[in-house]
Amino acid sequence: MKAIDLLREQFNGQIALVEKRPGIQQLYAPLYHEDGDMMSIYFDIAKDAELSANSKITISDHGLTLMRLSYSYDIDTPNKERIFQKILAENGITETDGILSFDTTPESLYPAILHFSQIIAKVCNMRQFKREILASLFEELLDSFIEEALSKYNLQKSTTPLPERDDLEVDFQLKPNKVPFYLFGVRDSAKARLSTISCLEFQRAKLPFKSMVIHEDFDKLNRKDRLRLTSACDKQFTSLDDFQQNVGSYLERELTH
Amino acid sequence: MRAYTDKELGDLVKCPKCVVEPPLKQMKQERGSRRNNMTLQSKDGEYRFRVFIRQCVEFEEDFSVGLDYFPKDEPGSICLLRCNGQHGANQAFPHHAHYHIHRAKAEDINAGIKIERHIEITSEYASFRDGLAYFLTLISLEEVGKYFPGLSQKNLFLSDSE
Repeated sequence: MKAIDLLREQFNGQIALVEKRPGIQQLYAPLYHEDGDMMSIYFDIAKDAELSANSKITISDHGLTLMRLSYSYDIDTPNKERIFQKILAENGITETDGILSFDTTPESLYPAILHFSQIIAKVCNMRQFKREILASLFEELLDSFIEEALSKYNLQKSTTPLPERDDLEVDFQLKPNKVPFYLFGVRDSAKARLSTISCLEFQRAKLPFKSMVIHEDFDKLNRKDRLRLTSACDKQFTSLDDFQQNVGSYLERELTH
Repeated sequence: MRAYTDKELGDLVKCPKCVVEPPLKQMKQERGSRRNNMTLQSKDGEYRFRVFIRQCVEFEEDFSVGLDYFPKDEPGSICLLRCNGQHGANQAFPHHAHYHIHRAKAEDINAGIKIERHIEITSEYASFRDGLAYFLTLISLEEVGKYFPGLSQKNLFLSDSE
Protein backbone atom coordinates (compact mmCIF):
# COMPACT_ATOMS: atom_id res chain seq x y z
CA MET A 1 0.00 0.00 0.00
CA LYS A 2 1.23 3.46 -0.83
CA ALA A 3 1.89 5.91 1.97
CA ILE A 4 -0.86 8.19 0.72
CA ASP A 5 -3.37 5.34 0.77
CA LEU A 6 -2.26 4.35 4.23
CA LEU A 7 -2.62 7.90 5.44
CA ARG A 8 -6.03 8.30 3.87
CA GLU A 9 -7.22 5.10 5.41
CA GLN A 10 -5.84 5.86 8.85
CA PHE A 11 -7.20 9.40 8.98
CA ASN A 12 -10.58 8.39 7.68
CA GLY A 13 -10.82 5.63 10.20
CA GLN A 14 -10.36 8.05 13.06
CA ILE A 15 -12.84 10.71 12.10
CA ALA A 16 -16.39 10.96 13.32
CA LEU A 17 -19.08 13.60 13.56
CA VAL A 18 -21.19 13.65 16.71
CA GLU A 19 -24.22 15.87 17.05
CA LYS A 20 -23.50 18.36 19.83
CA ARG A 21 -26.71 20.36 19.38
CA PRO A 22 -29.25 20.40 16.56
CA GLY A 23 -27.41 21.99 13.63
CA ILE A 24 -23.99 21.66 15.28
CA GLN A 25 -21.80 18.63 14.61
CA GLN A 26 -18.64 18.08 16.68
CA LEU A 27 -15.62 16.68 14.87
CA TYR A 28 -13.81 13.77 16.49
CA ALA A 29 -10.39 13.62 14.86
CA PRO A 30 -6.85 12.88 16.07
CA LEU A 31 -6.10 16.57 16.63
CA TYR A 32 -5.07 17.11 20.23
CA HIS A 33 -3.87 19.77 22.63
CA GLU A 34 -0.71 19.17 24.66
CA ASP A 35 -2.75 18.07 27.67
CA GLY A 36 -4.41 15.31 25.66
CA ASP A 37 -7.77 16.98 25.12
CA MET A 38 -9.13 16.82 21.62
CA MET A 39 -9.40 20.16 19.84
CA SER A 40 -12.92 21.54 19.84
CA ILE A 41 -13.97 21.83 16.21
CA TYR A 42 -17.57 22.03 15.08
CA PHE A 43 -19.38 22.14 11.76
CA ASP A 44 -22.47 24.29 11.87
CA ILE A 45 -24.56 22.03 9.63
CA ALA A 46 -27.56 19.79 10.15
CA LYS A 47 -26.97 16.14 10.93
CA ASP A 48 -26.67 14.08 7.74
CA ALA A 49 -27.02 17.23 5.65
CA GLU A 50 -26.68 16.66 1.92
CA LEU A 51 -23.96 18.98 0.72
CA SER A 52 -23.74 20.34 -2.79
CA ALA A 53 -20.51 21.69 -4.25
CA ASN A 54 -21.67 25.24 -3.53
CA SER A 55 -22.78 24.61 0.05
CA LYS A 56 -21.23 26.78 2.71
CA ILE A 57 -19.95 25.08 5.84
CA THR A 58 -19.03 27.15 8.87
CA ILE A 59 -16.23 25.67 10.95
CA SER A 60 -16.28 27.00 14.49
CA ASP A 61 -14.86 26.44 17.96
CA HIS A 62 -17.94 27.86 19.76
CA GLY A 63 -15.72 29.82 22.14
CA LEU A 64 -13.72 26.92 23.51
CA THR A 65 -10.31 28.06 22.25
CA LEU A 66 -10.36 31.38 24.11
CA MET A 67 -11.88 29.65 27.11
CA ARG A 68 -8.95 27.24 27.14
CA LEU A 69 -6.44 30.06 26.73
CA SER A 70 -8.00 31.88 29.66
CA TYR A 71 -7.05 29.06 32.06
CA SER A 72 -3.58 30.54 32.14
CA TYR A 73 -3.50 33.66 29.98
CA ASP A 74 -5.78 36.65 29.52
CA ILE A 75 -5.93 38.85 26.45
CA ASP A 76 -6.23 41.93 28.61
CA THR A 77 -3.95 44.55 27.09
CA PRO A 78 -4.01 46.37 23.73
CA ASN A 79 -0.74 44.71 22.78
CA LYS A 80 -2.04 41.18 23.48
CA GLU A 81 -5.22 42.02 21.60
CA ARG A 82 -3.19 43.26 18.65
CA ILE A 83 -1.23 39.99 18.51
CA PHE A 84 -4.43 37.96 18.78
CA GLN A 85 -6.14 39.93 16.00
CA LYS A 86 -3.02 39.59 13.86
CA ILE A 87 -3.14 35.80 14.16
CA LEU A 88 -6.80 35.83 13.14
CA ALA A 89 -6.35 38.28 10.26
CA GLU A 90 -3.34 36.50 8.81
CA ASN A 91 -5.29 33.25 8.78
CA GLY A 92 -8.68 34.49 7.59
CA ILE A 93 -10.50 33.70 10.83
CA THR A 94 -13.47 35.66 12.17
CA GLU A 95 -14.08 36.24 15.87
CA THR A 96 -17.56 37.00 17.15
CA ASP A 97 -17.96 37.28 20.94
CA GLY A 98 -15.03 34.95 21.44
CA ILE A 99 -16.17 32.38 18.90
CA LEU A 100 -13.61 31.67 16.18
CA SER A 101 -14.98 30.58 12.83
CA PHE A 102 -14.48 30.54 9.12
CA ASP A 103 -16.43 29.38 6.12
CA THR A 104 -15.40 26.69 3.71
CA THR A 105 -16.86 24.46 1.01
CA PRO A 106 -17.36 20.69 0.98
CA GLU A 107 -14.48 20.06 -1.40
CA SER A 108 -12.10 22.04 0.86
CA LEU A 109 -13.21 20.46 4.09
CA TYR A 110 -10.07 18.43 4.72
CA PRO A 111 -7.54 21.27 4.34
CA ALA A 112 -9.97 23.54 6.18
CA ILE A 113 -9.95 21.26 9.23
CA LEU A 114 -6.16 21.17 9.27
CA HIS A 115 -6.01 24.93 8.83
CA PHE A 116 -8.48 25.55 11.65
CA SER A 117 -6.63 23.20 13.99
CA GLN A 118 -3.47 25.21 13.34
CA ILE A 119 -5.24 28.42 14.31
CA ILE A 120 -6.50 26.83 17.52
CA ALA A 121 -2.93 25.80 18.33
CA LYS A 122 -1.57 29.26 17.51
CA VAL A 123 -4.11 31.02 19.70
CA CYS A 124 -3.59 28.56 22.56
CA ASN A 125 0.16 29.07 22.25
CA MET A 126 -0.28 32.72 23.16
CA ARG A 127 0.21 31.41 26.70
CA GLN A 128 3.88 31.29 25.79
CA PHE A 129 3.78 35.08 26.10
CA LYS A 130 3.26 34.72 29.84
CA ARG A 131 5.41 37.10 31.81
CA GLU A 132 7.55 34.47 33.47
CA ILE A 133 8.40 32.94 30.09
CA LEU A 134 9.15 36.26 28.41
CA ALA A 135 11.06 37.44 31.47
CA SER A 136 13.70 34.88 30.67
CA LEU A 137 14.19 36.72 27.37
CA PHE A 138 14.47 40.18 28.95
CA GLU A 139 18.26 40.26 29.19
CA GLU A 140 18.65 38.91 25.66
CA LEU A 141 16.22 41.45 24.21
CA LEU A 142 17.85 44.29 26.14
CA ASP A 143 21.29 43.15 25.09
CA SER A 144 20.45 42.94 21.40
CA PHE A 145 18.66 46.31 21.38
CA ILE A 146 21.54 48.11 23.09
CA GLU A 147 24.11 46.57 20.79
CA GLU A 148 22.07 47.53 17.76
CA ALA A 149 20.90 51.00 18.72
CA LEU A 150 23.47 52.38 21.15
CA SER A 151 26.84 51.03 20.07
CA LYS A 152 27.67 54.45 18.57
CA TYR A 153 28.02 55.76 22.15
CA ASN A 154 31.23 53.83 22.91
CA LEU A 155 29.35 50.87 24.30
CA GLN A 156 31.08 48.58 26.80
CA LYS A 157 29.43 45.55 28.36
CA SER A 158 29.90 44.31 31.92
CA THR A 159 32.25 46.89 33.36
CA THR A 160 33.41 47.39 36.95
CA PRO A 161 33.86 51.13 37.53
CA LEU A 162 35.54 50.48 40.89
CA PRO A 163 38.35 48.01 40.11
CA GLU A 164 38.62 46.95 43.75
CA ARG A 165 34.88 46.15 43.85
CA ASP A 166 34.29 43.49 41.21
CA ASP A 167 31.01 42.67 42.92
CA LEU A 168 29.58 45.98 41.68
CA GLU A 169 29.15 45.42 38.01
CA VAL A 170 27.49 47.67 35.45
CA ASP A 171 25.62 45.83 32.69
CA PHE A 172 26.42 48.39 30.00
CA GLN A 173 28.47 51.55 29.89
CA LEU A 174 27.88 54.30 27.32
CA LYS A 175 30.45 57.06 27.00
CA PRO A 176 29.26 59.64 24.49
CA ASN A 177 31.38 62.33 26.17
CA LYS A 178 33.36 62.67 29.37
CA VAL A 179 30.63 61.48 31.74
CA PRO A 180 29.72 57.82 31.30
CA PHE A 181 26.21 56.43 31.57
CA TYR A 182 25.92 53.23 33.58
CA LEU A 183 22.98 51.04 32.52
CA PHE A 184 21.37 48.38 34.69
CA GLY A 185 18.76 45.91 33.44
CA VAL A 186 16.41 45.08 36.32
CA ARG A 187 13.92 42.21 36.26
CA ASP A 188 13.56 41.35 39.95
CA SER A 189 14.05 42.59 43.49
CA ALA A 190 17.53 41.10 43.85
CA LYS A 191 18.78 43.01 40.82
CA ALA A 192 17.00 46.16 41.94
CA ARG A 193 18.82 46.02 45.27
CA LEU A 194 22.20 45.33 43.67
CA SER A 195 21.68 48.24 41.27
CA THR A 196 20.75 50.52 44.17
CA ILE A 197 23.85 49.51 46.12
CA SER A 198 26.04 49.95 43.04
CA CYS A 199 24.75 53.46 42.35
CA LEU A 200 25.21 54.49 45.98
CA GLU A 201 28.73 53.05 46.15
CA PHE A 202 29.72 54.78 42.91
CA GLN A 203 28.36 58.04 44.31
CA ARG A 204 30.24 57.51 47.58
CA ALA A 205 33.44 57.02 45.58
CA LYS A 206 32.63 60.31 43.82
CA LEU A 207 32.76 58.77 40.36
CA PRO A 208 31.47 61.05 37.62
CA PHE A 209 28.58 59.15 36.02
CA LYS A 210 24.90 59.08 35.30
CA SER A 211 22.87 55.95 35.96
CA MET A 212 20.05 54.50 33.90
CA VAL A 213 17.82 51.63 34.98
CA ILE A 214 15.78 49.64 32.49
CA HIS A 215 13.01 47.68 34.19
CA GLU A 216 11.50 44.51 32.86
CA ASP A 217 8.33 45.58 34.69
CA PHE A 218 8.46 48.52 37.09
CA ASP A 219 5.10 47.60 38.66
CA LYS A 220 6.31 44.14 39.55
CA LEU A 221 8.84 45.46 42.08
CA ASN A 222 7.66 45.98 45.60
CA ARG A 223 7.23 49.52 46.87
CA LYS A 224 10.36 49.64 49.02
CA ASP A 225 12.61 48.42 46.21
CA ARG A 226 11.10 51.02 43.90
CA LEU A 227 11.63 53.80 46.43
CA ARG A 228 15.26 52.88 47.10
CA LEU A 229 16.12 52.60 43.44
CA THR A 230 14.29 55.81 42.50
CA SER A 231 16.24 57.64 45.17
CA ALA A 232 19.61 56.23 44.09
CA CYS A 233 19.55 56.36 40.29
CA ASP A 234 19.28 59.21 37.80
CA LYS A 235 16.88 57.84 35.19
CA GLN A 236 14.53 54.89 34.97
CA PHE A 237 12.66 53.33 32.07
CA THR A 238 9.63 51.45 33.30
CA SER A 239 9.79 48.72 30.66
CA LEU A 240 11.83 47.53 27.73
CA ASP A 241 9.27 49.12 25.40
CA ASP A 242 9.68 52.44 27.19
CA PHE A 243 13.46 52.16 26.89
CA GLN A 244 13.37 51.28 23.21
CA GLN A 245 11.05 54.13 22.39
CA ASN A 246 12.61 56.86 24.49
CA VAL A 247 16.28 56.27 25.17
CA GLY A 248 17.34 57.95 21.91
CA SER A 249 15.61 61.24 22.65
CA TYR A 250 16.68 61.07 26.29
CA LEU A 251 20.35 60.78 25.34
CA GLU A 252 19.99 63.57 22.80
CA ARG A 253 18.56 65.86 25.45
CA GLU A 254 21.28 64.92 27.91
CA LEU A 255 24.04 65.50 25.41
CA THR A 256 22.85 68.95 24.38
CA HIS A 257 23.31 70.27 27.92
CA MET B 1 13.96 24.05 39.61
CA ARG B 2 13.37 21.72 42.53
CA ALA B 3 12.24 18.15 41.99
CA TYR B 4 8.77 17.09 43.09
CA THR B 5 7.24 13.76 43.98
CA ASP B 6 3.69 12.72 43.16
CA LYS B 7 2.99 12.57 46.87
CA GLU B 8 4.03 16.20 47.27
CA LEU B 9 1.78 17.24 44.41
CA GLY B 10 -1.07 15.24 45.92
CA ASP B 11 -0.47 16.89 49.29
CA LEU B 12 -0.55 20.31 47.67
CA VAL B 13 -3.91 19.48 46.10
CA LYS B 14 -5.54 18.25 49.28
CA CYS B 15 -3.99 20.48 51.95
CA PRO B 16 -6.64 22.61 53.71
CA LYS B 17 -6.97 25.99 52.03
CA CYS B 18 -8.58 29.32 52.75
CA VAL B 19 -9.56 32.15 50.44
CA VAL B 20 -7.26 35.17 50.10
CA GLU B 21 -8.98 36.90 47.18
CA PRO B 22 -12.58 35.75 46.87
CA PRO B 23 -14.32 34.86 43.64
CA LEU B 24 -16.85 37.19 42.06
CA LYS B 25 -20.37 36.61 43.32
CA GLN B 26 -21.42 35.88 39.75
CA MET B 27 -19.30 34.53 36.97
CA LYS B 28 -18.23 37.14 34.46
CA GLN B 29 -19.19 36.44 30.86
CA GLU B 30 -16.35 37.23 28.49
CA ARG B 31 -15.69 36.17 24.93
CA GLY B 32 -17.76 33.04 24.82
CA SER B 33 -17.22 31.74 28.32
CA ARG B 34 -18.21 32.46 31.90
CA ARG B 35 -15.20 33.07 34.08
CA ASN B 36 -14.28 33.37 37.72
CA ASN B 37 -11.05 33.20 39.70
CA MET B 38 -9.98 33.19 43.30
CA THR B 39 -6.68 33.22 45.16
CA LEU B 40 -6.10 30.77 47.98
CA GLN B 41 -3.42 29.92 50.46
CA SER B 42 -2.84 26.82 52.48
CA LYS B 43 -4.22 27.10 55.98
CA ASP B 44 -0.69 27.11 57.39
CA GLY B 45 0.15 30.05 55.12
CA GLU B 46 2.96 28.17 53.38
CA TYR B 47 1.57 27.77 49.88
CA ARG B 48 -0.24 30.03 47.43
CA PHE B 49 -2.78 28.90 44.84
CA ARG B 50 -5.17 30.23 42.21
CA VAL B 51 -8.42 28.62 41.19
CA PHE B 52 -9.88 29.31 37.77
CA ILE B 53 -13.45 28.45 36.89
CA ARG B 54 -14.56 28.46 33.26
CA GLN B 55 -17.76 27.40 31.55
CA CYS B 56 -18.62 27.63 27.87
CA VAL B 57 -21.63 29.90 27.29
CA GLU B 58 -23.04 27.83 24.42
CA PHE B 59 -22.33 24.38 25.82
CA GLU B 60 -22.83 24.35 29.58
CA GLU B 61 -21.46 20.84 29.89
CA ASP B 62 -18.10 22.12 28.65
CA PHE B 63 -16.24 23.52 31.65
CA SER B 64 -12.96 23.42 33.45
CA VAL B 65 -12.15 24.15 37.09
CA GLY B 66 -8.45 24.17 37.85
CA LEU B 67 -5.95 24.64 40.66
CA ASP B 68 -2.70 26.49 39.95
CA TYR B 69 0.12 26.32 42.48
CA PHE B 70 2.65 29.17 42.73
CA PRO B 71 5.97 27.91 44.11
CA LYS B 72 7.73 30.46 46.30
CA ASP B 73 11.15 29.92 44.86
CA GLU B 74 10.29 29.75 41.13
CA PRO B 75 8.58 32.02 38.66
CA GLY B 76 5.24 31.04 37.23
CA SER B 77 2.75 28.42 38.28
CA ILE B 78 1.95 24.73 37.95
CA CYS B 79 -1.58 23.58 37.20
CA LEU B 80 -1.98 20.65 39.59
CA LEU B 81 -5.54 19.63 38.80
CA ARG B 82 -8.38 20.38 36.42
CA CYS B 83 -11.88 18.98 36.66
CA ASN B 84 -13.23 19.06 33.14
CA GLY B 85 -16.63 18.77 31.60
CA GLN B 86 -17.79 16.73 28.69
CA HIS B 87 -16.20 18.79 25.95
CA GLY B 88 -15.21 15.92 23.72
CA ALA B 89 -12.72 13.14 23.46
CA ASN B 90 -9.12 13.04 24.59
CA GLN B 91 -6.02 11.06 23.77
CA ALA B 92 -6.68 8.51 26.49
CA PHE B 93 -10.28 8.01 25.40
CA PRO B 94 -10.47 9.14 21.78
CA HIS B 95 -13.93 8.00 20.78
CA HIS B 96 -16.29 9.36 23.43
CA ALA B 97 -16.83 12.45 25.52
CA HIS B 98 -16.45 11.90 29.25
CA TYR B 99 -16.32 14.07 32.32
CA HIS B 100 -12.68 13.81 33.23
CA ILE B 101 -9.89 15.06 35.48
CA HIS B 102 -6.44 16.25 34.44
CA ARG B 103 -3.58 15.93 36.91
CA ALA B 104 0.03 17.05 36.82
CA LYS B 105 2.61 14.35 37.37
CA ALA B 106 5.93 14.84 39.11
CA GLU B 107 7.81 13.10 36.32
CA ASP B 108 6.54 15.68 33.82
CA ILE B 109 7.14 18.72 36.02
CA ASN B 110 10.65 17.58 36.91
CA ALA B 111 11.34 17.28 33.19
CA GLY B 112 10.16 20.86 32.64
CA ILE B 113 6.78 19.87 31.18
CA LYS B 114 4.26 21.93 33.10
CA ILE B 115 1.24 20.35 31.47
CA GLU B 116 -1.42 18.45 33.39
CA ARG B 117 -1.67 15.67 30.85
CA HIS B 118 -2.55 12.70 33.02
CA ILE B 119 -6.25 12.10 32.35
CA GLU B 120 -8.70 10.01 34.29
CA ILE B 121 -12.40 9.59 33.57
CA THR B 122 -14.70 10.34 36.46
CA SER B 123 -18.26 9.51 37.40
CA GLU B 124 -18.09 11.73 40.48
CA TYR B 125 -19.95 14.52 38.72
CA ALA B 126 -22.13 15.02 35.68
CA SER B 127 -22.74 18.76 35.59
CA PHE B 128 -20.89 22.02 36.12
CA ARG B 129 -22.24 22.56 39.63
CA ASP B 130 -21.43 19.04 40.75
CA GLY B 131 -18.02 19.31 39.12
CA LEU B 132 -17.29 22.56 40.95
CA ALA B 133 -18.50 21.09 44.24
CA TYR B 134 -16.38 17.98 43.73
CA PHE B 135 -13.33 20.08 42.86
CA LEU B 136 -13.75 22.21 46.01
CA THR B 137 -13.93 19.04 48.06
CA LEU B 138 -10.80 17.65 46.40
CA ILE B 139 -8.80 20.78 47.22
CA SER B 140 -10.16 20.99 50.81
CA LEU B 141 -11.39 24.56 50.56
CA GLU B 142 -12.76 25.90 53.80
CA GLU B 143 -15.90 28.03 54.10
CA VAL B 144 -17.22 26.92 50.70
CA GLY B 145 -20.74 28.07 51.62
CA LYS B 146 -19.49 31.59 52.25
CA TYR B 147 -18.07 32.00 48.75
CA PHE B 148 -20.40 29.68 46.82
CA PRO B 149 -23.77 30.04 48.55
CA GLY B 150 -26.20 27.36 47.49
CA LEU B 151 -23.48 25.07 46.29
CA SER B 152 -23.76 22.12 48.61
CA GLN B 153 -20.90 19.71 48.28
CA LYS B 154 -23.24 16.86 49.14
CA ASN B 155 -26.30 17.87 47.20
CA LEU B 156 -26.31 16.25 43.79
CA PHE B 157 -29.85 17.27 43.01
CA LEU B 158 -29.32 20.94 42.20
CA SER B 159 -29.78 21.71 38.53
CA ASP B 160 -27.34 23.94 36.68
CA SER B 161 -29.98 26.63 36.32
CA GLU B 162 -30.51 26.97 40.08
